Amino acid sequence: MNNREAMLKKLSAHQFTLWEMHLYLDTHPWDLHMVEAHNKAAMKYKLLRDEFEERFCPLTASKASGVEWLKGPWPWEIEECDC
Amino acid sequence: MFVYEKKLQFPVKIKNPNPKYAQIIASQYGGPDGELGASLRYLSQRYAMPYDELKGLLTDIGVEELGHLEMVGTIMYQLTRNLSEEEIKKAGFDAYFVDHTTGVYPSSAAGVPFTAAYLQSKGDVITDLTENLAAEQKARTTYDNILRLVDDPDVREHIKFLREREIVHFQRFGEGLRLATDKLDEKNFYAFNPSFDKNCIK
Repeated sequence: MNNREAMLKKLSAHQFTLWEMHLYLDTHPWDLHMVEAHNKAAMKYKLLRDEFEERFCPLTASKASGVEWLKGPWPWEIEECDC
Repeated sequence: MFVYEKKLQFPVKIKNPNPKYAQIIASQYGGPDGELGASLRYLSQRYAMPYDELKGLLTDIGVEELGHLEMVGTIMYQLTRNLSEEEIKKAGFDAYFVDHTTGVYPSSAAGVPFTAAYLQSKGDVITDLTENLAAEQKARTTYDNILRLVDDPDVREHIKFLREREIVHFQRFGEGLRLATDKLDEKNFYAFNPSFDKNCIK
């Protein structure tokens, strides 16, 4: 596992935590304790995502175009490279 | 609208190609209880949802299912890379190969192409949520069956993750159904269809 893969795994784990809380809040919107936990996790995730995008590659099309957006590896590819 | 994020929900890296596994796992791409059907089911049903919690739930789970479709497609892609004709024949992948080479195509493990007949959008909140509870369990059984047939830990890790998601979605849909019936006539949930008889909603 190279640096990019290791950080991508960490980023995905944080995003997953956030998503689990998000789905829970769809059916428990009154749970303010969870809203607070979610907002805390969201801040942490945002910092991590910014760092990942800075070090490796933009994750959404609004943040890059052309060569910068097209450069692999794409999510389904497994070539060893620091994108 | 939808915005693409250039990453998988759970990154996939399968070291050893195995076309037999790809053929089995294909069912969760375009088979009767697969991720394509799941995403289309929830994203289509959501228009008939009468309550905000359910509009949100079906949108969110529908979108997550698209992410799962991408993960299953990736697993198929990685399991079928760098194959020789000999390996294709030996694994019994020749029937798939003749029609699709190693392209990812939505069909069941037995080769039946994807059809919208796998899903329903009935325009009735109780009916649709009940279908979704069954759909999540059918997908969970399919993942259980895949786990009986697949030994490679690189593949199993992701199949186990996807299986667990079915259980979480089942839980959330159950809560959604409870939420809906709590808002209906407690003596007769079926007195009217809140997805259609809008004048009956307070």
